[in-house]
Amino acid sequence: MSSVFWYNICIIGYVLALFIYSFNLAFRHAFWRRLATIIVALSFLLQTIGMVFRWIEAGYVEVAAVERATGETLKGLSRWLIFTQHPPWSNLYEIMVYMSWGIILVFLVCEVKWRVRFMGIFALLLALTAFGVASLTDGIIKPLVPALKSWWIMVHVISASIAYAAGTIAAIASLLYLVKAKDRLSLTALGSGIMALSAFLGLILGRGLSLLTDATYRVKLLREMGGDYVTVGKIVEGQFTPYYVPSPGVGPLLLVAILLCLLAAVMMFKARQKMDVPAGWIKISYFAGLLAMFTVGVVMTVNDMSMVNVIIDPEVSPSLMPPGPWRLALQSNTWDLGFLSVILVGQIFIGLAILFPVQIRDLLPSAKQLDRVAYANIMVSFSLVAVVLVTGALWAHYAWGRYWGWDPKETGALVIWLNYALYLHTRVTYGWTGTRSAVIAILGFFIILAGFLGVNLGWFANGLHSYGSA
Amino acid sequence: MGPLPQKKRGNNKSLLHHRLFAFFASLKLTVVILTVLLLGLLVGMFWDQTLTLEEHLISYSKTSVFAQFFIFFELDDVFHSWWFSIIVLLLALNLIACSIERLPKIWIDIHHPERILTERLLKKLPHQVETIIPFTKAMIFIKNVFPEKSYRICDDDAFYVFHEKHKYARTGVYVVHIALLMIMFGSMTVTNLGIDGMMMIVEGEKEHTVRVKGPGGLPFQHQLDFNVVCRDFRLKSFVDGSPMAFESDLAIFNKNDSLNPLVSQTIRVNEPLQYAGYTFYQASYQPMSGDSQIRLSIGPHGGARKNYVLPIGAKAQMSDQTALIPIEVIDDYGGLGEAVKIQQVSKDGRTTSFVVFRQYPDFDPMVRRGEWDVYFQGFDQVYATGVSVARVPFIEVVFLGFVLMFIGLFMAFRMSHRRYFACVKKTDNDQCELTFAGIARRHPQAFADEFQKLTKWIEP
Repeated sequence: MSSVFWYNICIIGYVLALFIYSFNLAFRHAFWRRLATIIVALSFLLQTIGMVFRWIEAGYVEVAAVERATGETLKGLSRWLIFTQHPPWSNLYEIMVYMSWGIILVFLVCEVKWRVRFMGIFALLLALTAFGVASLTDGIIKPLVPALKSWWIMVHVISASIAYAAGTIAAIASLLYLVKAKDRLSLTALGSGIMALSAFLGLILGRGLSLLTDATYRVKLLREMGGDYVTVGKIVEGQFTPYYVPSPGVGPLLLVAILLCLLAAVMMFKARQKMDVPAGWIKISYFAGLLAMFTVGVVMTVNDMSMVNVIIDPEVSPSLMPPGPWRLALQSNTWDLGFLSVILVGQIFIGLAILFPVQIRDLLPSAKQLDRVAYANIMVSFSLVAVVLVTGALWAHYAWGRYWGWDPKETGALVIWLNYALYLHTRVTYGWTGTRSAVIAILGFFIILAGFLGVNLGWFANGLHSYGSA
Repeated sequence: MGPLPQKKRGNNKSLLHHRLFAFFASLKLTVVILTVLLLGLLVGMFWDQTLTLEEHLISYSKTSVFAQFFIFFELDDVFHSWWFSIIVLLLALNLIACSIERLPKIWIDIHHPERILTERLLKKLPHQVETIIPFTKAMIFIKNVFPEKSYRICDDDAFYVFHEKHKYARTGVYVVHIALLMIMFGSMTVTNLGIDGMMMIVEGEKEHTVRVKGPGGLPFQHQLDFNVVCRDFRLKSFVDGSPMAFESDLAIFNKNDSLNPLVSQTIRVNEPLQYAGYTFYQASYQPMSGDSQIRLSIGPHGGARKNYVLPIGAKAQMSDQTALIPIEVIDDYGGLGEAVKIQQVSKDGRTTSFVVFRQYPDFDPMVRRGEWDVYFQGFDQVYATGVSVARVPFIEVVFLGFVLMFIGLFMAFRMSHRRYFACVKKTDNDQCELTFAGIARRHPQAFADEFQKLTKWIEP
């Protein structure tokens, strides 16, 4: 049995629990709720077993690689040391699986401790998104690079996972808080915020300026090889650079979606004092933005699935490797699809709240409870990010001779930490609770996405942590 | 932090240094600094800091105004720019001023708390219960809730009890602040006194120059007052060619001495050498251009052998004046694998040549049976080892800061300062009026639950 086998069962469990949690919103029956939680807990156990299996698989790979390279047969302690040196969180695939593990872990603790309704749905959706993205990235186990061969990786990555998972759960609780609490922020203002974020995400998906200048959205070209997809590219100055092709129709659609989202954001922002729940044209603008974003996602997916034979300009095609036939697949823009689904989940949830404000607010736990969950999670996250920073600094000191080098990843973790420091300070000194705290917490989630994933995906400068990029 | 009584400063308020102090001690400043710091960090994160100023200017600045802006704000090295340093300095001043402003008051409150449950105090306490119960029951309650050593005092008509837990927890915040100051002090000194550079040492050579990035991103040299010698560099690769491990044997010599190493150690990735405050880390490697070195093992026929590492054309001088010279490398000698052609020059000038095989070490002594046995053991590519050299002054201060930070975080978040007050006023018929109150600084919900559990005792 391989790790993938366990992961697949665990995904089925998560999906089942997701359905039960969702339907139970209508019935509100303690039995079903408990059943779903037990299913999540069991699936979590299976995922843990899967990770242990993955560790063992990686161990065999490491031992085999070393034995082939040195020609010696490893025995005893030295074999054990090599066997265990490759924990299942050392490339992007493993990190995504591991992040879903962390999110479920933190969710389970919160569920047992506070029983916050709705949280399960969001946590499971995020965990499944992480799994989905992982399944589309390269999951082949390769021997560790020398820099990662250190025991520091254990405590460093474990605390990072739980810290970022706790930050994510805090952001979910804060989002729910904003929907529930009517004290200062109306649903209109909240809708404005999410629409502005969607427009921003649209710009990131369209790689900013290039979208605005030529209205095209580009994805990676792939070649199918023995059931796997290989990125197509050319060699420029001795470096392999992936070749991008426009995904037809997505560029203009994305521009329209950005404009609609911006329009909705502005309209809702203007009306935020006048109405709690948007109505009339403002409501229509929100759903226009949502529909546009959704269409973008659908067209992207359809393009990926349907373009099985891509014809390239004959001037360029001879320089591309490996040679054709080329195609698109979900692997062409995995991360874009992942981020899009995260923002769509938020949009749809707020859309539901706009359509059925009374019912949704009635379903949510008390605002005080949600605020408390967010606060507790941020305290955990703040402390653990401190652990991440310090273990990272110590590791850097022993490995590179400087404990701090302003590497993008280091800076990213520091930004996350300072953001939570801001949260805690404003809470203690200004008594900021509720709305304003919630905004900082939600911002924290996006900073985590940027600092944690953005660096690995090479959005910023290449740093020391860019071991596995998509 | 509860509301503390404001001191009357009178006219002092207008004095410049008072106003300055008030400015630096304000928490609003903290929030502003944190926000600006966050923005600065984001700029440094989005902007590639590994490129040099010239590379940035080529790609970003099309106009001279933008270039001026870029240079003024040192956007190629945000984290060492003047404005970033100012923000960090302001944060340090802010932390110090805040601690001076608040810590003494908290210290006084820790050592001289208000222990008598007066009407005025009662108003500030979030949890309180007032009941009339039998006197004996009240006494049992107090005995159970308040430990023996807790503070007790009798008034004319009342009896007061006071107890607190984790009273030092409130200093946790300041422990974290001191830790942060220590870490910031470390980072400031690293920028100014520390060294973070590279040296490439060719195998067998010595080196004492460290290349560092100097002020303004200019290439800069730092001279060590000792020599670092790379005696050997070994690279182990996986079968696919990716590096498995690499290591160098380093030795450190005095400048005018090349015989007695002061230290010698093998360094690997994650295993550095430390000497005189400097740390030498295995960072990278670079194959040197030119021929490979050939590893030979030579000895008299049937006798003990010695190892030689020679480039093509170099002589290995034997004890009887015979010279052995590798003159040609053959990648595949008729299907027998790698081989080296060796020229033998005897002391009388006679020249012969023969071939030795890497895969068949027994060939030479068993088949050729010459005066000297020659074993061909492989190649040595000459590498330059990339050693990163760092000197981090006051690293102990920084590490102590890390430890303190965790202690402080634990105190601030996990330990909750709790105070319990009780006041018993005797009324007639063995009844008494019991007031029980409490306050917690952290985890208010947990305290509320605890308080509720305690008050179950005294429900009438």
